[in-house]
Amino acid sequence: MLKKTTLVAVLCALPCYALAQSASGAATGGASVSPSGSAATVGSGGSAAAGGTSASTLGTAGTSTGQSGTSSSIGVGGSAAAANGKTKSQSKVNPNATNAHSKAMANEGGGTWSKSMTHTKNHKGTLSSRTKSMAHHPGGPPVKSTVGSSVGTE
Amino acid sequence: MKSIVFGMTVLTALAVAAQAESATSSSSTSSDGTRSSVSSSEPNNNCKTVQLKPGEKPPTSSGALTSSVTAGGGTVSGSTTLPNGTTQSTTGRGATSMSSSTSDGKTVVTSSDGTCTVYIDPVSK
Repeated sequence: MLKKTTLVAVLCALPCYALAQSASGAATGGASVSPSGSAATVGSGGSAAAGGTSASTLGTAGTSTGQSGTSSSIGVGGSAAAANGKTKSQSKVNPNATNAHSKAMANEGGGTWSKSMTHTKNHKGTLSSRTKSMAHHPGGPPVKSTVGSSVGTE
Repeated sequence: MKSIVFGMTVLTALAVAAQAESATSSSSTSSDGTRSSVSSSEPNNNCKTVQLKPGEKPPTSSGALTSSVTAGGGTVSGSTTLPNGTTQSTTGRGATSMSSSTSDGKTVVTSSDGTCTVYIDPVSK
């Protein structure tokens, strides 16, 4: 009876994990120019999930230049979750608010993991954001998504 | 025996500890020295479907899907470049790009001009 019960449990578990990984991302950017000034914004984000793990990160940046000067903003964030495993997420913006990184990862062991990373920066008024997300579950290659966007005003 | 096995399963499930954490960070600056702080996508149902040949990979598997926007001289132009070098451009607005991959072999790529393509891997299908 025990063997039969165990066998049934294994047979039920396998199909559940067959399609158990995904990675996606999106990037966007916009800009405007007018006689009174210029403005630009950029953003990217991504998510990955495998088994009981998930990880997401995103980043945004914006800048506006007018007669009174320049105003800029930058932000990143991330999150990770694992029902039965380890997670780690870290986000950081440098003191000048020109460079920001976010990294999130979740790992439940046995080769099942998901992670996402975003790097957003403002380099001399050119904004860019890039997000890479990956997920892996044993039995197949990892799935991944890499998206990025850059915006500049001439 | 069966009830004992099920009992053990329930106990195991209850013993699993859920773990999650998140972190965010943001900052903004302006030229007057003040600081404050301050984040989209659209689905497209008109996707073209491409059946990949055995061994063929969807474009995003070989590199990044990138969008770029340039503004100057009163105009704004945007474009999305696939890793295979194909570029789709727009004028007068920004740019977006999206990709999504799943283990069932489907990869969805959306570009700045609204073009949406679903790449289907015959092996994983």
